[in-house]
Amino acid sequence: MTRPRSAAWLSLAASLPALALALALPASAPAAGTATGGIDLMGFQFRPTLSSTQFMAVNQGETWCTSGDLPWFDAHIPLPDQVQITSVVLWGRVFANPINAMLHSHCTGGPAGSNPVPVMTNLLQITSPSSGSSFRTEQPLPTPVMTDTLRCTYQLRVNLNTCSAGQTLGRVRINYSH
Amino acid sequence: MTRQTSNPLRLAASLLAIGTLVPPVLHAEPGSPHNWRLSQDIGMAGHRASSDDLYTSNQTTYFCRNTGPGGQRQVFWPIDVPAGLSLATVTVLGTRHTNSPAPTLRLHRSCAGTAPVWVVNTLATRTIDETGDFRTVIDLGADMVPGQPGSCTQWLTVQFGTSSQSCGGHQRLGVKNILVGLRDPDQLFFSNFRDAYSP
Repeated sequence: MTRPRSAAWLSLAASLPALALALALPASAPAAGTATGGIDLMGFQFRPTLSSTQFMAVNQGETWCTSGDLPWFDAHIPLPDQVQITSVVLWGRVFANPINAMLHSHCTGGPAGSNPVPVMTNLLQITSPSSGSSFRTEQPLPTPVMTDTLRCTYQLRVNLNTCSAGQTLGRVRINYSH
Repeated sequence: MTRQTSNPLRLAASLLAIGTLVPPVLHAEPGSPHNWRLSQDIGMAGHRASSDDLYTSNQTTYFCRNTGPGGQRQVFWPIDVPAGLSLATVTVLGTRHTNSPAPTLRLHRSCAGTAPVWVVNTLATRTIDETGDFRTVIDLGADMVPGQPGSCTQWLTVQFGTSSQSCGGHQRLGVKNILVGLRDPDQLFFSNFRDAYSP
């Protein structure tokens, strides 16, 4: 009678580490193919497309155009390879005009490719509300795009439309799945 | 007969009950050297706050070049904190001439509030009082913040005096490098438990 009980104790002892792990660890990550991620950029990480465009940023991280003929700003999006871009989210403030953004890819034939000129593709256009001060706008891609960082680089261009302290780019998020 | 009552299933149930009473440990033990993830940025990777912020570079260093009044004198360095890691330290290496104003360092964190509002908090502030080459560590200690991509972002701001001050001449006030210390709060693998079995 004691032998079966000893076996049960041994079985319990063997299962304790697994039990402790199950209690201590958070839920496991989603399976491959269903995980999501994203790249976050603050407004201050965008640069004006013209050096003559005057700009300013503040502690909140948002940026705006103070004067200039072309209130456009660019940023490189450091996306990982082989993920599907799913949507772009813009935050900011509008004074009188909407803020427009375009997600571009610039692709070559790769390091050994024959085409030395990158081909630009407009992947998405997104437009903010035209009034209402603070806004958050999310736009899904019509067709999810798989990144290829061997051949392509990715850029977001934002047109603030108006040089005004009330017309700001707060932050951007590029969502993806993999 | 009493031995019959020490049922392994009862013991397991008791252990489970005890387990629910023990508060979870949120961070790895401070002394452990194994749970660090370090990254660096050069001074020239900073983003100036205004087009009136003049600069020059020497090797990796971002030097303030506002030798007269003007400019915001602010430069931002974004800090990436992936999910699963926590921001623990930010170390700033720079240089300050005796005639240059004291730079102020601020570590910021912005998190989503009620959409579309974002709430910005200042995690730490340091003023560089010494002159010459300096090295300042912002150590968040027990207040280190977990990475929450999509909800929160972090950045370092360096303020080179005020807009009415001169930065002190050519290449006299600047930031050379930013070192970011992240920690993995995994208790089981990166705690001092592992130290005992590591060379």
